[in-house]
Amino acid sequence: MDSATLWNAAAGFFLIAIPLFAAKFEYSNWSRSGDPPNILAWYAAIFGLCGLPLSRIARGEAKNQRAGELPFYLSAEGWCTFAVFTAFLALYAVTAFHPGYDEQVRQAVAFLHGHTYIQVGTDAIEHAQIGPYSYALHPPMGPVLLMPFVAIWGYATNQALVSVLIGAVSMALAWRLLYRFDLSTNGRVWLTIFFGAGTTFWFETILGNTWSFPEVVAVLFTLAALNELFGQARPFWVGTFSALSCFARYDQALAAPVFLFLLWWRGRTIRELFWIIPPFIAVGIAFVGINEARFNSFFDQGVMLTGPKDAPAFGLRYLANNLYTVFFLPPKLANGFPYIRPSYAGQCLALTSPAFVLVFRANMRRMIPIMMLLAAAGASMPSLLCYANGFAQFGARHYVQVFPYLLVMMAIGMRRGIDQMSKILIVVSILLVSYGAWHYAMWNWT
Amino acid sequence: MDTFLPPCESTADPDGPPGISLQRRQDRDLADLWTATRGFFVLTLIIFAADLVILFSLRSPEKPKYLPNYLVSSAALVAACCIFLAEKSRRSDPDGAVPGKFPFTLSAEGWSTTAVFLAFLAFYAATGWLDPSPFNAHVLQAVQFLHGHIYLDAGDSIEQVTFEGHRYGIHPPLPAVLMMPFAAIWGTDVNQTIFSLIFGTINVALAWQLLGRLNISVNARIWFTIFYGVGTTLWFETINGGSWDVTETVAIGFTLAALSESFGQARPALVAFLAGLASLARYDMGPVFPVYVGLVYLRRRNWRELFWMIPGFAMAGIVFMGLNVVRYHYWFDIGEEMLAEGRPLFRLRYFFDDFYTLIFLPPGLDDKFPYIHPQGGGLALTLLSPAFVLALRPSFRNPTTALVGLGAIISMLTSLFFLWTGYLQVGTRHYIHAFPFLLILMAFGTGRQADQLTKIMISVSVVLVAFTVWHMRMWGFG
Repeated sequence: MDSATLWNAAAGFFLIAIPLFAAKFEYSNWSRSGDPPNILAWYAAIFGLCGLPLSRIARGEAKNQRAGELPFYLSAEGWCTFAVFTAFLALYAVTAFHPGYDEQVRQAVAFLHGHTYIQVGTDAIEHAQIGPYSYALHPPMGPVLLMPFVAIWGYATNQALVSVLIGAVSMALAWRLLYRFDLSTNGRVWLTIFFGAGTTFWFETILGNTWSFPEVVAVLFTLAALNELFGQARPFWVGTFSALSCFARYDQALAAPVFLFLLWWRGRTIRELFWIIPPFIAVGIAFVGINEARFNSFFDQGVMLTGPKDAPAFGLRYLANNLYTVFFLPPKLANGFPYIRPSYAGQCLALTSPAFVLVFRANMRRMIPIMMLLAAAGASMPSLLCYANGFAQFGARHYVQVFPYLLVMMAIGMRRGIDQMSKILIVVSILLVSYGAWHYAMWNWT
Repeated sequence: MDTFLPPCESTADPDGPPGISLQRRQDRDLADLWTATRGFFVLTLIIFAADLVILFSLRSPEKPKYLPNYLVSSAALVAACCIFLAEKSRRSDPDGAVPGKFPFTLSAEGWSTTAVFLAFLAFYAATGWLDPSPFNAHVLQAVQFLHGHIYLDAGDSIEQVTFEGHRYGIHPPLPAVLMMPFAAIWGTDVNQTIFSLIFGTINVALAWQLLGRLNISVNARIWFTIFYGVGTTLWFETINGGSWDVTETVAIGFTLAALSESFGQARPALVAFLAGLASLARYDMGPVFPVYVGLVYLRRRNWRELFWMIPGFAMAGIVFMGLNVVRYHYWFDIGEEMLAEGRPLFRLRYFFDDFYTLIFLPPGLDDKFPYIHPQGGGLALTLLSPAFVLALRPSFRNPTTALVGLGAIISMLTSLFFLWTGYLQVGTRHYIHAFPFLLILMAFGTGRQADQLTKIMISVSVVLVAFTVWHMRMWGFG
């Protein structure tokens, strides 16, 4: 890895945070009605302002072989990872929406009080009612992550801000993940920016509501699992992250065999592979325990209880509708400005992140791309057969958790350098997603 | 020297595998070309056989006919003969040049073009319908031309405008001019659908020729030709043969010929003549003239020779204006304007409708099989032929690439500000004449061999277009 370009990339990412914060600050002053920058935006600006000179010093010291003497010692790679975190913390914090539906906060409060039923407010919508108790419909990993925050701020916890923090950490993990592949720094920068700003992961992160939060948490743990898989490939840690990802979005369980297989493919012995089992058992026990406590069932009955009354919640009959959502669903055409508006029902992948077409560059005769494609297909399958396509949404929310697998395929297909088509497609993706985020901020779903 | 053709005197092969000389690569390409030729001839026979089997299995007392139509049968018959003739030609002249001994001889390139033509003729004829289209404005116009006047005065099924007591067609004149010989024989009974079918097939053969002039392997050439003929809405336009479709088909034919000449010998007069003819089939091709001038200049590097382009362009202008002066006593075609009944034909405001149609317009969805249906409004280019994304691959810093890209944009520009989006349509009819430019960009970007991304994107496009054509044949619009 070219260390000079890595240092430059770090400086660039630190630098991004400052104008983003300044723009938000100026806008809120100028518009008067706009919110001032939130606390995370301030942190991002401080990180940016401090990180820029400190990384410069570290670079100079690294040149003189004295970097290890610094109190704030980090490698070029470490600085760059921190810079990516800072840049995306700034982006997500300054574009974050107001906190909305916060089922996960309510669930976290419930956990802290030692029960599983939640307190349903007037705006909490969607819950399974069993007798006098209301139960959340979404997987429990999100609330578990929120528990420390809820222990301090209780119901006042801003779920959207925690989502922003998780999103920024995810982006640092995405940057780390791309290091595992034979990419130039330039290629890594482009792919990281694509993942963080050219996919609806951006929108889901800054929305941070009941439905987005599980997606964001699932992406975090999937990226961590992939980092470990393509790094040291320790079965226990791959198992831990992968299992936690399943605990955030159940669909991820269908991708778990891929992790197991790739661990073996990467040279782990069958005996070592057994270390993947304990984390899954732990998560499985938690899963069954919560469901037993709530629904007297091994499985989560939430969707079954609240889904269609006279039809199953999952079935082949829903496939056409969901395929249409993934591949064809367009924005709407309106008479008033800005004429083309995101549809409440969502947008297909091709019309929010066309750069995903680059996944087909990865050689499908090789094992890793095949396995990543299998993982993506497997984790998408329940959503493809689900009665609901994910609305209200921008993009196709139900498939965000498979984006890390697609990112790996894009990285493998990129072969170090990045060509013109990739750059154009990434820029178009960023424009489309930022348009959606801007539109939602201005007009919501109208 | 063309940027995309390796210098003839060099034996180094800049694009091929290391260690393979240009001569060896050319030999290999020639061998591949003969193989492809044989493949296309055999494909014609397979299409005939498949059509026979399908028609036989679908026969019923009401529809006892099970032999493929005469176009499929003729294509198969000619292909069967050509297999032997081409083989004989190859044996008598393995280098692919014309030896002059054999009476039916053609070069390897000539045989391969014939094979592509026959395969697509059989394919289009088998997947299309040969019934005459009720929207045969060009046939009626051709008959009127033969009678020495321009007005149409036809039935109400044809879009026409009334001016000073006469009714005039609104389509550009070239398709009607091309049909005049047939109209002279069969009058108004000329089958416009068959004309479209044959002209569309010629288009694919021209695309094959054009691709042969770019520095790509035979394998890539086959992929791009298949994409062009089966992976774009050109397939439907060709087999539909309505007044609006034929206009596009003819415009594409001459555009392909002009581009083929631009990347071949680049004779300025011929390029301009062909480009001029294309503009007489679709007026949007008029603003593209400067692009051809640029392309010819890049090939020949001689300003003086460019003056030979003036007669071709002038011819198009004179015919265009002459026809309009005779009809409307005005230099420009105001037919569409009259049809618009007071609404302006071009406005900035229309951009959103047209852009939406081009990029976002989806198929319909309902709970009836096959659930996803083509709609009369059309289907966005991105969702019907996603392989066009490969046109973004070549570097636009190269002047030839930039010019071709400019040609694509200019040819689309008028339709992007036009009052009508093109409905009723399958795909986006108003942008088809930009496809030849996009095809060249795709070929430029491929780097000789078709890679996995190219193959997947082309396969997806073919599946989507095949689904649409199948739906249209079975149920029409959804």
